[in-house]
Amino acid sequence: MFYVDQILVQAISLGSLYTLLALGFSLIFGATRVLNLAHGSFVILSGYAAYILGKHYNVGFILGSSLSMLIPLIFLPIIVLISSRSPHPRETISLILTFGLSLVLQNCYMAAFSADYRILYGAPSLYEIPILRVTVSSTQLALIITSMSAVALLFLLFRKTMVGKALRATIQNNEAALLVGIPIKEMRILATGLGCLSAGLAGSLYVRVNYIHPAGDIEVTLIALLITLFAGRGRIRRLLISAWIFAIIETVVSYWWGAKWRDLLSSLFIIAVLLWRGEEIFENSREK
Amino acid sequence: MNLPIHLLAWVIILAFGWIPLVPESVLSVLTTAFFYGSMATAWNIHSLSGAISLGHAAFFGLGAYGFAITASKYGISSWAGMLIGALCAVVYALFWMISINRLRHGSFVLATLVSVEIPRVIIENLDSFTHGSAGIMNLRIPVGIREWYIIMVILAGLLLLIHHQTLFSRLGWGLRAVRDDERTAMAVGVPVEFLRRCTLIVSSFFMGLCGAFYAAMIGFVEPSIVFSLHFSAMPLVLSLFGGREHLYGPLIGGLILYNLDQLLMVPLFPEAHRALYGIAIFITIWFFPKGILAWTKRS
Repeated sequence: MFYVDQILVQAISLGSLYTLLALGFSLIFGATRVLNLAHGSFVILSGYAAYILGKHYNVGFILGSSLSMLIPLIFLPIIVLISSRSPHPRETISLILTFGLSLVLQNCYMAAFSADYRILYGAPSLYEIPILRVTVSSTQLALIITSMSAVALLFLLFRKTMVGKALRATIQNNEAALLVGIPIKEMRILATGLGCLSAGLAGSLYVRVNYIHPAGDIEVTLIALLITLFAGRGRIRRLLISAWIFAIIETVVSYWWGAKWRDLLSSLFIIAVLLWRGEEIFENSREK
Repeated sequence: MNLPIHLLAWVIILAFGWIPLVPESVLSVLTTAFFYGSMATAWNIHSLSGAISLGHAAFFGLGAYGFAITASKYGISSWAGMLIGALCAVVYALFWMISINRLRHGSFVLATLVSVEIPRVIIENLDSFTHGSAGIMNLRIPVGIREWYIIMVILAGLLLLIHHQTLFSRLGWGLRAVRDDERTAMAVGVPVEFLRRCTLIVSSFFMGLCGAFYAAMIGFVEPSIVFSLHFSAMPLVLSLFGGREHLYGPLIGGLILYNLDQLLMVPLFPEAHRALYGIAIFITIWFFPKGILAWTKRS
């Protein structure tokens, strides 16, 4: 029973991080119809920023995360450019372009940070939750609280503000949004900016629990892709549930068979989801 | 197609490898350029059916491992091992056929991208059979650089012949119809699925063969190397750059970009020289989407 509790705690903390990873990906996909294969590279760059700030300048968690989450915003213009200047067929071309972007970034990271694996590991404090009798580390708590706060903020933005409603309308149907007078170009830029910020925050957390390296972007992109495909674009609650389900499955598989089978699991899941509802997802994304 | 001129050109290219004055370093760069050009041509045979793959590294890696395991464990002759490697890639292509081949456009691209992870993770974790992430060493075969040059030129020539068929034969026109509008092609009686499957099998076979050649040339295989994104990206970039609808497009793409990479990027940016291929994607798609050979009169 002890192990089941611990597995759940681990899965919830991991699932919270995955929600944040997928949220950025999903926002960009929803607003611009670009499935951003360089999303992992954005996350990794912010991870490097958090690592350098934490390791070399002893910057604390809150300030370090706040600063490093801004870094992926430098990619905002290029994503906007890809979404507006992709020739026909747009979905395939935008995939190829973002794939090209990830190749460029991977090589730049190799030159800038070398191929070394890096993790921002601080000895965590352990807390025991009395009634549930489970142990939670400070890293897990930080992951859950930060991710969930960011997700809650975005949820409130989408639900309670006019800008958020306009964003939702843009994600759901571009043409209808345009017809009712929503400035969809600006909304696309805003959604892409929010997506970059989510990726940045996710990166600053990711480096605290996982090793990052220049070629590590693909596994991050795969996780974000899987959860987004499973949940559908721009659906925060479904993203959260999908991320937790995936994190539970991943934690259980890692516990029984070892973490080395994780990528196989996510690949098989993605293929299954694509076979199940790939056409439906892309059919919706073919609207201008 | 002016056959005598083409044949003469290929004879001259072949003879270049026998000229003793040509330094081995030059031949080495040219051999690799022809190697990448062949890979790109093999990839393009499949992409002419309208299916863009980001997962050909799976065939490449399986070809390399098929050769490595048969040559190192079972003592089968190296050349037979290479053939077995290529057949391993074809077996994986059969898996594609029964699973992801029904997908189209973006879904297909994504499915191919993630399908590379399946053989990579399995090979990485079957330690006792494949030596896991440590890879397999001592695979180099006793063939000099001049011989490799000849092999690569012959491979490129053979692939160009097949490429010519997929572009200009009756089958090629069928493929064009499939690429432009699959439903209409089906309505006028083009065997869409048959053509897609044929191109996939041929493409995977030669991609696997390239993987086996690569393992035999450099002498070792590692999952992180032979299943890397680099081998999925290269054929795509080179074909786009050269021109996907031109007979020599992928090969010329390989000859130009690889040489540009080695002669310009490696001395200037030794750590990040491969970024060139990513930049080439942007430049090609935004400025000359039909490839550089589209500028020539005949295309």
